[in-house]
Amino acid sequence: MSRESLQHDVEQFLFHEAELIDHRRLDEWADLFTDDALYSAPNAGEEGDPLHEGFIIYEDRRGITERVRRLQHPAALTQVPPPRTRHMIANVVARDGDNGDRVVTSNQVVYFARQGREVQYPGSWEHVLTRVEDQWRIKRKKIVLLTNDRAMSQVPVL
Amino acid sequence: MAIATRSAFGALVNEDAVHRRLYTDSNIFAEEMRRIFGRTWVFIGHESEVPNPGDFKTGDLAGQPTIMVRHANGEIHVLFNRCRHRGAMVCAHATGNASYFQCPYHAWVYKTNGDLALVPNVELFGSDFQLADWGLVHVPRVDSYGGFVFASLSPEGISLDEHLGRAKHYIDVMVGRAPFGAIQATQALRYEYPGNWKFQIENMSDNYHATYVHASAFGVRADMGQNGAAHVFGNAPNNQEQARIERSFGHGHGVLDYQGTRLLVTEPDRYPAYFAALRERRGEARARELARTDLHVMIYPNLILHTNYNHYRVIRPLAVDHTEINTYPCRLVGAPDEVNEALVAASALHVSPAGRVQVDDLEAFSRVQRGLAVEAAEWVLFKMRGVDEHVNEYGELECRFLSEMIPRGYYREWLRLMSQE
Ligand code: FES
Ligand SMILES: [Fe+2]
Repeated sequence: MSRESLQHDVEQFLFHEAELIDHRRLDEWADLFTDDALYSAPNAGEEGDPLHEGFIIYEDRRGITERVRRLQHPAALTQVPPPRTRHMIANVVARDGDNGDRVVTSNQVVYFARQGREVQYPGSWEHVLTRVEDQWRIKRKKIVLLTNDRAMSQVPVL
Repeated sequence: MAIATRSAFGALVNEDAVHRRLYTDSNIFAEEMRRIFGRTWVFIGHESEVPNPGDFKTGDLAGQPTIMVRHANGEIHVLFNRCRHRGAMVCAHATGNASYFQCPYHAWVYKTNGDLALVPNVELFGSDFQLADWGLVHVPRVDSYGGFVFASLSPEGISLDEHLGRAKHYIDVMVGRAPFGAIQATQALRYEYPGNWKFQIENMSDNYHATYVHASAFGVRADMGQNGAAHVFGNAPNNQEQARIERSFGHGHGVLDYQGTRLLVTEPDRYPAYFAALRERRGEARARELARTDLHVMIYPNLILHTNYNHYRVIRPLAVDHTEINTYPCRLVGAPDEVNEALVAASALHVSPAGRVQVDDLEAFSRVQRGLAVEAAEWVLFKMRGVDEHVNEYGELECRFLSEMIPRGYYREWLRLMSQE
């Protein structure tokens, strides 16, 4: 693939992922992750050393499935009615990772609206994408929110 | 005057119900800041948040900005974050390390014990101007227990020792679960909600709600079995109320004691290296008891200890209908990294604003806040009485789950404090 078409390809992947989340096709979203995936968001700063700064999200594939099932559970108070979200994606930069993986960084803002409340979650997203059966899958997804230095409430799927 | 005041607040608090205005009236909130947070012992921070000389943490006490800082000699000071010149906050960082605090406005310099060290153009302040007179003001009373630092804006009153009473025993348990007898706080998980501060402390003594509010988190976990997130923070089905005990004591404090009915990260057979280290220092029986102790400890008004996920939560009231909570997952000093990672992860999974459990409580709190706008229904009920209520050998009021005995204790203390001028 040429550089231009690779760039186009990973952008399309991010748009597709965002669409799955924003339209609550969360099972399909969870399926984008590889079995050995890690989904994380540091609690403070950018690194998230588990013994010092900690994480607001730190999940393996099983944890991601559990997250999705909870969000779909009829008794999940924060999901009835569900929040409406839209991911805005910009500044997508892709570079080569190990073993043919692609490391994709982007700036994203997630707009959240629910019951008259609107919140924005801006930050830096980093995906490590790997090729499985000719499809991109997510091996690592790490989100550093710009607002992780202050109190937040009911953060949606990022 | 004092009697008039007592009756004014007394009309809002019954033995088993409180008036909605406690949660909705901003004048009452202002009085709480003055009479509760401005008077009693209020938790400020744990010593492990400022381990090294110069380490500081800013915060507030009854809405007034403070700095908790470790001085060069190792002593911890709690200072008002207010320059003595024209009033600027001298420190705007949440946490950090400083060799001194320099005011941003006209560059007065203070040492980490509050002493004023340098004033530009000091000769123009008059010959009687003494640096020694103009240090940062110290919060009137500061004391600590088990590394938990409390402060009081009142220059007099009961000692911290007396205020904590039996709570010291529970702090000993929290700290004693660490092989080296100390906990180390990590960076706070922070969340906020559009509701009154008292909802959080009520909620932590409330096992009644858990079955319903957390049906999604616990239901999914049960469905997914031990291989789900349960490997991090196992939780037995919430159907063992009869085995669990509540206690209410002292100055509004309370404990939920789960009596070993939930699985813990620290279960003796889960991480053998941890348990061996604990046993080596405490002996088999005491180590087993400590490792399996599962408590929510409510230290009125603003501190909650959680020995299962090993964190402490601090309530920060911002307005009558706006509250921030800072939760500090703690490492057990002397425990293997894998144990501490599991503990920190357990807190994140539960209490993170992107987590599974606390987010649903926040939803309940905001619904309560909105519901309490209804004037036609005035009372908020705490009528539930637990089985076998009695006074135990430590003078604590004790009963079996479920009850609303602990919040009844909060409101007795609330009324006592609010009734003093
Ligand atoms: S206000 Fe601080 S130096 Fe003037
Ligand atoms: Fe809860």
